[in-house]
Amino acid sequence: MAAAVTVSSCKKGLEPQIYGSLSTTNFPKTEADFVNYVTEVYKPFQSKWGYNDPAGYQNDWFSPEYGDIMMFDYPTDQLNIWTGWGGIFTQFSTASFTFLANQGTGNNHFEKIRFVTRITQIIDDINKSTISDAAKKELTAEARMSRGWNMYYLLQLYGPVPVILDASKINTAAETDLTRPTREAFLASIVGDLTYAAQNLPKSPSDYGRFNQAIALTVLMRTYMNEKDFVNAEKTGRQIMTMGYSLVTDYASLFMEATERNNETMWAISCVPDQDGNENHASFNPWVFYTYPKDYPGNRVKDSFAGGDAPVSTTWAFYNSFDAADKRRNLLIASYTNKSGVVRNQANGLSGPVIAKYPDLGGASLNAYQGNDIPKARLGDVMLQLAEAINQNSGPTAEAVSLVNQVRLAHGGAALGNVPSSATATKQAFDTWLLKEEGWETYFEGERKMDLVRHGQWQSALTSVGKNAGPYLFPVPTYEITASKGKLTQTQGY
Amino acid sequence: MQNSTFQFWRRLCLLVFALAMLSVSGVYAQQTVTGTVTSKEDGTTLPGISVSIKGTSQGTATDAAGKFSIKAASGTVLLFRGLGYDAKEVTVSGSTLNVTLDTKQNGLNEVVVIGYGTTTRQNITTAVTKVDPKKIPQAANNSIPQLLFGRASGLQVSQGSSQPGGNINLSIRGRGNPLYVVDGVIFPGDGLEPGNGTIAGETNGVSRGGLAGLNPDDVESIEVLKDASAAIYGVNAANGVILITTKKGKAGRLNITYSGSYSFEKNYPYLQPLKANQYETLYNQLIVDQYLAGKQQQPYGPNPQSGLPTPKYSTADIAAAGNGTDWLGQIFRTGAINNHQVNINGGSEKATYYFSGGYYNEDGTLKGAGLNKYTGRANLSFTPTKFLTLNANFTGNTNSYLNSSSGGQTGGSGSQGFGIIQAALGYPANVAVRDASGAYTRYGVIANPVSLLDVQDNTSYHSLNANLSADLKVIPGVLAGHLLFGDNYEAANRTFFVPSTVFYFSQNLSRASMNYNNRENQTLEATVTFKKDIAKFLNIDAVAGAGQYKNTYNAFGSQGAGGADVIGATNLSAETANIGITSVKTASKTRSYFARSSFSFLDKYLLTLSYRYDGYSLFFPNTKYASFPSASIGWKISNEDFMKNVSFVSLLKLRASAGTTGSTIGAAGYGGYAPDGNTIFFTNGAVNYATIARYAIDHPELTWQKTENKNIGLDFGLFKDRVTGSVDVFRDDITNLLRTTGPTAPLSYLSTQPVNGGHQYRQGYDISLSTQNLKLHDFSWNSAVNVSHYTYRWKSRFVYDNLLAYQGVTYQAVNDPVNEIYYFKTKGLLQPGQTVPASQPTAGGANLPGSPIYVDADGDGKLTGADIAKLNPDPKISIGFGNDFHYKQFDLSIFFYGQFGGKGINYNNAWGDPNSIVSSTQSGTVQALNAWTSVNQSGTRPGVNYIESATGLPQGSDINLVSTNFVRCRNLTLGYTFNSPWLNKFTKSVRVFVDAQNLFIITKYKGVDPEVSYASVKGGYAPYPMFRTFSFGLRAGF
Repeated sequence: MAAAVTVSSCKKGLEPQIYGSLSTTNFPKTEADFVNYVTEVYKPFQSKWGYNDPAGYQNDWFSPEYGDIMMFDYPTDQLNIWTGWGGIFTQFSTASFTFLANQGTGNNHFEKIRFVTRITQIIDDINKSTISDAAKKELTAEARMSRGWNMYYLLQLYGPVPVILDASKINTAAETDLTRPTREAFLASIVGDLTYAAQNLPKSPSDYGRFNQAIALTVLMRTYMNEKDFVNAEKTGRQIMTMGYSLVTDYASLFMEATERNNETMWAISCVPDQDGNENHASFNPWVFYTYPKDYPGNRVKDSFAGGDAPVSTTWAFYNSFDAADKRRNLLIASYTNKSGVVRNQANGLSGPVIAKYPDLGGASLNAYQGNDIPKARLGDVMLQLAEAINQNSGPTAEAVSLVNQVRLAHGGAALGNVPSSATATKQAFDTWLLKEEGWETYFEGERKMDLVRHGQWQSALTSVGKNAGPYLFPVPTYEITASKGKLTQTQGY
Repeated sequence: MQNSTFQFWRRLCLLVFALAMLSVSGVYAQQTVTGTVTSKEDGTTLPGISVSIKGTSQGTATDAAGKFSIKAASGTVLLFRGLGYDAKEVTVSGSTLNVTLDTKQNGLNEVVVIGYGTTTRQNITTAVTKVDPKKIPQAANNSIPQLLFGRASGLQVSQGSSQPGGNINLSIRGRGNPLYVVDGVIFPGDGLEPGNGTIAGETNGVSRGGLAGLNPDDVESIEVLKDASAAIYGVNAANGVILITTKKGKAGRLNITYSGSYSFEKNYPYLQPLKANQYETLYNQLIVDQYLAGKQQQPYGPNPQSGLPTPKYSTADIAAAGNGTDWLGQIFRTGAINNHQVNINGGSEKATYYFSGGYYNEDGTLKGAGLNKYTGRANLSFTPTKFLTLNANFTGNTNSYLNSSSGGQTGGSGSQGFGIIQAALGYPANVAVRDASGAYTRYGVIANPVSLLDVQDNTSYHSLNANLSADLKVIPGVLAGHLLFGDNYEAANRTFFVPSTVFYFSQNLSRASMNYNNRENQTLEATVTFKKDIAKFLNIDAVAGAGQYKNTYNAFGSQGAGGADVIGATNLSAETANIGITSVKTASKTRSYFARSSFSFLDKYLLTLSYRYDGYSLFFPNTKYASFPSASIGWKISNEDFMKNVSFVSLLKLRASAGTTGSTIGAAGYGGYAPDGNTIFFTNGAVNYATIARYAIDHPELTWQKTENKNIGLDFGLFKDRVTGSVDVFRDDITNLLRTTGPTAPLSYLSTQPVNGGHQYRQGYDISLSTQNLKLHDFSWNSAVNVSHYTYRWKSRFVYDNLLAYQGVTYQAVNDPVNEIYYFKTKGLLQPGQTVPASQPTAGGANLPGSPIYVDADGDGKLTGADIAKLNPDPKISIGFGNDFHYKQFDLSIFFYGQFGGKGINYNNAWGDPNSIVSSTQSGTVQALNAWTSVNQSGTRPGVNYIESATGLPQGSDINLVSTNFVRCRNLTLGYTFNSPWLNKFTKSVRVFVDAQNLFIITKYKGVDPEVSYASVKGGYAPYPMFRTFSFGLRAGF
């Protein structure tokens, strides 16, 4: 009797109450819904510590730890080995990638193959929606930019990796097929996405920091360059040259907060000072915390992370490779008077020049993370690559040499002068020079590994600074090989 | 006032009269002896106790007020006996005789609460352990779980954190946090503790446990349902059930009990930091060793030593450094506890009442850590008519916690995010607390340990529990109804503030957050019970009912940085940076129908059947309900005819049970989109979008995880119950394992999904034994022992779970223990000149002298999965062992608990890692002095050039793998119960006691404590210290 009073019906009133989320039946519907929904594609292209994912914490492509600088610059001839913190600092700075085979699902870029599937789903959802065609096009372009760029980085890290680009395969057995696609097929996917993005993204989006045409073309050009498809690279480079960007004449100003928006930087990560790097806050620029030694008297950052030497510093060999007149070298501090008034330099044991590329002039309080935007598409870089492509296609033409000289004049200063004529005498000589020039121009911008590999200098460059050059690609995680039942092949060399 | 004055004079006259009588008693052997009998635990008076002269048939019984009067000569022995109490013999030595009786444990007729009813020890057919909290010293304890260390067989209790109000992990047969039912109302078992936001979230060293709103002094009994007996609680009972029954008033005269104690706390020896001169000497040496290895100079390489770096600290520096700053001394102190409890109970046939008030104040052994707890309870019962009883139980409570950032940081920030104890270990002793200008000194990016005492971090917790019920007697003694509504509401608010004077996370920046959460757990139940002797040979005891259980949880937090220090966390609108808010709301509902019936045939054969049908709101409609049946049988062998002549056996019962229990998970079955915590900012922060991501798809196929419990047990009572005990053997099969974060296909855009699959099992045994070793005239000695063992293994795994492999060799087996540790064995350290084995890893400095030599187990010249060793870290055996002694008015008890056969990674060793010291980011402990260096080649710990995390191996080595065996003396208590005519005029009983809690530990473990939970954190984990408590107290009944 009492029981009957308590509970009148078995299921009535036992419906689920789920708060804080949107149901699959009413989201996403409107254009505003889709703008919000598509924003997720930017997630890996920020500069924060990383983001939470149910499988574990993941790093952004531009995270300070395990981001592009650490993966593409740290293991090269430009930056010193540093073992003070062990772990990934030791491993990346010594170019020892074997440990990555033992990674779990957290802090693991290979897991971004899932993110590619996620974007495929988003693209399919946009396509099937009832929003306007114009909105569909622009949102799809943002999504395909992200997908193409994610695949670009995966290619640089692991070679071709399995991805799902056809939404009809989602939630089917195809999700377990980890067979690597052919390089051609994988490249075609990247090119397809980036080409679509370049055609449909605005040149200057209303929100600064959204993907634009130039970032799509720049990544597309690098894709061609790294594949040594210099014909298409040249074509893409020339397209960028027509977009109206121009070189600034003060190299240092490219990396300063006050002048971060300029006519040379075509796309940068929009950073904000005083952030903490958490994923709910804006992107930050923490680099001086890694590049200032403990005793370095910074402007606004007085206490870096260093316990002594800086975790990230350039090699003396790299510093000494610059022409002394080159103004681009000024962002490397070879000698400074430390907090105790003692001069520090190579002679008294400074491990390497201090990288002061992103000067610490901002922040509401002392020791705050900085807000210098981090360029990822820059005309100076594109011009050097275009010169390289032209040289590969047609030899050291006057146009190619002129491109390099323009960059040298604008960034290195008039005193630096032109490329010596001996360096432009042959295609080979010019190519060798171009690798050096690219190093001076884009050091600490996350490009060095690809440049070395493309120029065939990976082995020799690392050996020159006492690093053991193994394979330049990363091994894929063993658990994925196991999961694939052997279909996923381990990267060659592991 | 007048009345009491009169009482006093009357008592004085009586005393004078008694003295006069006494003076003539030498002549006249017979005299009238009067007195009161009280219960030892709670000081209440005991009516109906038989009082007789030993060896005669003369006797009387105590009245409703527990008083008796009997004619007996001096020197005769009086025997006091009562149901549920240990008999006691007392020699008459005067005309007044007050007696306290001990509750009888493990008696055949001892009542055992089993959920929706009770049974007795002789009739129970399942594995249920009863704990009497009144027998356990409570002076230094503020929560119920603290009482349970080692006290019940099959119940593993371990110290999560020893901070005031710290979490204590309770686990029945190794299953994890059980279901708690307090007077029929379901209570959440986990602590309600808001975080401190992400603003400086890595300082969150708080770990608190459940049942924080209850007062241990209010508890009458605790029953642990270990096997299929839990099946009557259905879907939430997979981890077993702990039933807590609070004290009720008893019909009879007014009883007032006061107990109070003062305790002080002294830390066990903590990790020992390097002294200033040790640190400087070691630092210099490590720099040299790093240099030598880098330059391939001797003993690390073939080159002769040359160009050694200039020492950072000169010989004069080191000589002047001395011991330096005692950082731990700066933050530790002697703690203290003040504990006062009063309860008033009594009643009549129509109404009974129990009121209690408790005050508990603890100043922890870490400065700035504390707990201030107030509890109040009223348990009332009214019987307005014969057929109706109305009960109302109310508890209210507030806890004010002073939080400490003990433990380790929760993220990976390293030394800049160190909590206070970490900072004290990490700060070198050669740095002073303050500099010449009086400001806090700085070392690297570690916050000054003393400055961290300025962090304000407080939690204020409130709970309110109302439990209303009605008992309806339809047919007295046969058919009854019970209606229950219980509501448990808890709310907690945490304010957290780091002033800008604290250099924390590399910045002198103020950071503030305020976080709030609350939850409500409601139980609504109606039951009908039926008890009858159907025939001479058959007794039925049945219950059926229905219930609905609602849970809601809300949380809100907001935070920011940069506000003025004077404002603190009181007005977050003052913040200028990193402003953030969070909120969470969840709700779930369970609806249940249940029935149980027990049959007893011929008082020999017992059968109990139970069935529960549960529905859970967060499951899909087609799987909304599930069944949880159970059956148990018992055979009272001792009641068989053939046992009639075996007089030394009072009880021998074989029993067996099997049943199904379940567990629910969150809103796993339903897909949707939600903000995932990420915000994308454009235009340098001017525009932002919270990313809204698909987090799940619908999973209509999900079904209920079920645990099949099987148990066989034997209960016995021998030699007139002087030896009693139980032996149980069990197996749990966890089938259809439901994992919310189950693996997905590698290319799925969801990296986890809720999934059924996998099968785990636990098996083991529990033994408990109570003995009355000696029972002499004035002296008695009782012992209790319990032993538990279990193993926990996989039977089959989830479909996308992949077994671990290395170099193509799989080293994880399908059926490995769930908590298995995988590691490489090492044998000693590489010495100079020794050939480096081919299998030795080359990365991470592992091929240099001073690095551990990895064992190539299969001798194939390389390290592969085949060389990876494994072991089950779970303790093989947990024990509890107690002894009680009584001599005249004295009582002495000593209780130990411990565990054997367990292993664990000793994370304390991170503090002895020379590599952290040489990188100038932190100091360390004296363990670093054992590191191998070029001048200490007999060092036993790896040298500075060995970095295990850089070896590239998939699992660590065994260098930090240690035994976690220990035996701890939990309580040593000495009490004295007064029997003085003068005192008895004012009180019914007075007992004074001294108690030492956690008096000592016997262990080979080197570190803070083998029992405390650790985590692997950057820099090293620094848990709240373990401490001894010495208490002095008294308990008086009026």
